[in-house]
Formats: sequence, C-alpha cells, structure tokens
Amino acid sequence: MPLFNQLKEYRSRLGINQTELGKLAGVSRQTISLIERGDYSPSVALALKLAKICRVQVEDIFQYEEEQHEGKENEQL
Amino acid sequence: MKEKKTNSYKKALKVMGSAMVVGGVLGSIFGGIYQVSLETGSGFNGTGITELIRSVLTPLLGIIFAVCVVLEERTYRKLKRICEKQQTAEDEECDRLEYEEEKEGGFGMNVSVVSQILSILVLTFGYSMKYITTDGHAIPFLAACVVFIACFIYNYFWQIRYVKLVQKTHPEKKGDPASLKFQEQWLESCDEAEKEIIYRSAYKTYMTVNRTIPVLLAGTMVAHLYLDTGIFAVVVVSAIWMLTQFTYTHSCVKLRETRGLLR
Repeated sequence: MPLFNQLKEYRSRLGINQTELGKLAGVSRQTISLIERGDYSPSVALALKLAKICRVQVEDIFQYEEEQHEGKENEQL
Repeated sequence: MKEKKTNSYKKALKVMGSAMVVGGVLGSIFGGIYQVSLETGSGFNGTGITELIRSVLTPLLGIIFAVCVVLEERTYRKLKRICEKQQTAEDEECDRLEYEEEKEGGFGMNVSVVSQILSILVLTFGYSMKYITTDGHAIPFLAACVVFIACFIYNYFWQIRYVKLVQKTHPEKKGDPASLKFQEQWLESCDEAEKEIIYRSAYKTYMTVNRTIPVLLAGTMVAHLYLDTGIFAVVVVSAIWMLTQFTYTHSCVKLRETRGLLR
C-alpha cells in the first residue's frame, strides 16, 4: 500500500529516539523503525496513537498516495 | 473469465502430466537399481548401512553432541555481544544489530533442532529389541542413550538461555521458556508488526510443508516398495499432512467467527 509518512521528522521535533517513542506508543523500537522506513503500515489504532504523541493530526504524519495506474482506473470510473 | 478457467485446467493437467513423467522416470531408475542389486546379490535393503551405524552408534552421537555444543556456544557468545551493544547503540546501528541478533538466533535454533533430529535418527538405528538383546549390545546401546539424553538436555537449556538473553535485551518480551504455553505467552507480548512477521513466516511454513509432504509421502511409499520399510512411515507422513491441513482450515473458520480476529 502506498502509505508515506513523516514520522521520523515529527519524532525528531519531539527530541526522542525510536526506543522512547516505542515506549510511549506501547510498541517495540523495531516497529517504529519499520514504520519510519516505510516497511510497515501501522494499524489505525497505532497511527492515531502516534499522531496523539506527536500532537498532530494523523494525516500530518501519514499520507496515502494513489499509485499512477490506480489513479487512471479511478478517472475512468 | 472463461478463458482463464480453461487455462487453469490446462495448467493443472500439465502439472499432473509432468508429475507422472517424473514419477515414471524415478520409478524406472529405482527399479533398475533394485533389479541389478538383486542379480548381483549386493543387496538393496539398507542392512549394510544399519550395521555400519550400529557399530559406531555412541561415537557418532558424541560427534553430533560435540559439534552442537561448539556451534551453539559460539553462537551464544556472539548473541551476548550483539545484545550488549544494543543497550548503547543509536537507532540505525540498532537496526543492524537486531538483524544480526535475529540471524544468529535463527542459526542457533536451527543447529539445536538439527542436532536433536540427527540424534534421534542415529539412535533409531540401534533402537531394536532384537539388536539390544543380542551379542552384548545392551551396554553400548545404553552408553549411546546417555549421550543422546545429554544432547537433549543441553539443547533444552541452551534454548532457555537464548530466550532469557533476548528477554534481558527486550524486557517487553514475556513468557516462561520452561512452560508449555511459552509460544502463546511470547506471541501475546509481541506488538502488531512483530505479529505480522510471525504470521507471514507461519504461512510460508504452511506452504512449504504443503509442497514438501507429498514428496515425502512418495519417498516413504517408494522406500516401502523397495526396502520394505513398513507402512508406519507412510501413515505418519499422512497423519502430519492431515493434521497440518485440518489445523489450517479449522483456524481459518474459527477466525471468520464473530470477533474471532480480535482474539
């Protein structure tokens, strides 16, 4: 799924490392790392939790960008 | 849509045809070897191998045990170093170290399981009342049993040490490694991304088992045909196949139940 995120930027603004963010969100450091690298799309609950910790809207951190062919299909519909 | 269906049937027929050809070729090769061995009187019943392994039962088990101890202790020391480094490492360095930890841990677990399986295989060659009760084989067999048990105890404690080390590095990981419910307790303490990794690996394992079991079943049937190994091996492999399939379908149905996915 083409889900992009700015979690690393928002985490840096908070001045905390992955372990600390993981502790705050109740997940492991690896999970935070996987999300930041775009290797894992978090559940809605975790995305909301991370947004709450960063004190922003979930859309500020996570953006869903449709792939080109998907966009063309939608246009045709 | 219809064309797709026809293609699938054609593909299935091709796969079945290929399997029959491969079976025919393998059958003729085995049949040829069997016929030649009968004509030359060299024997093709595995007696030679059984006798050879029986004569070196204890030393062979000892070698397996020694190799396993050396490899697992080396792996444990490496793991300990990796885990210690993780305590002070930066995020990027931590990613690399955790990958190393996973790799080394996987290697250690594989060595542990392989050594146990090899020990069972080797001991089975002498695991016959007919053999034990004749020509003073009882004492060497008992000695082999001692090495076999020592290997199992060592592996059991190695796995506990490994789990404890991981739990020390990642305190959020729960579960008593000596408990029968360890796997469930461990899974319960994993977060969503870790669970996804476990589920994906489990599905891959299921697919591998489903592809391997028919081959194993054919192998045990061929072995019974030429070596007269008995039908027990065929029954066991069939039982494993059925168990795997029933467990998977049962789990799928259960998860479709209301709130099943939440459990």
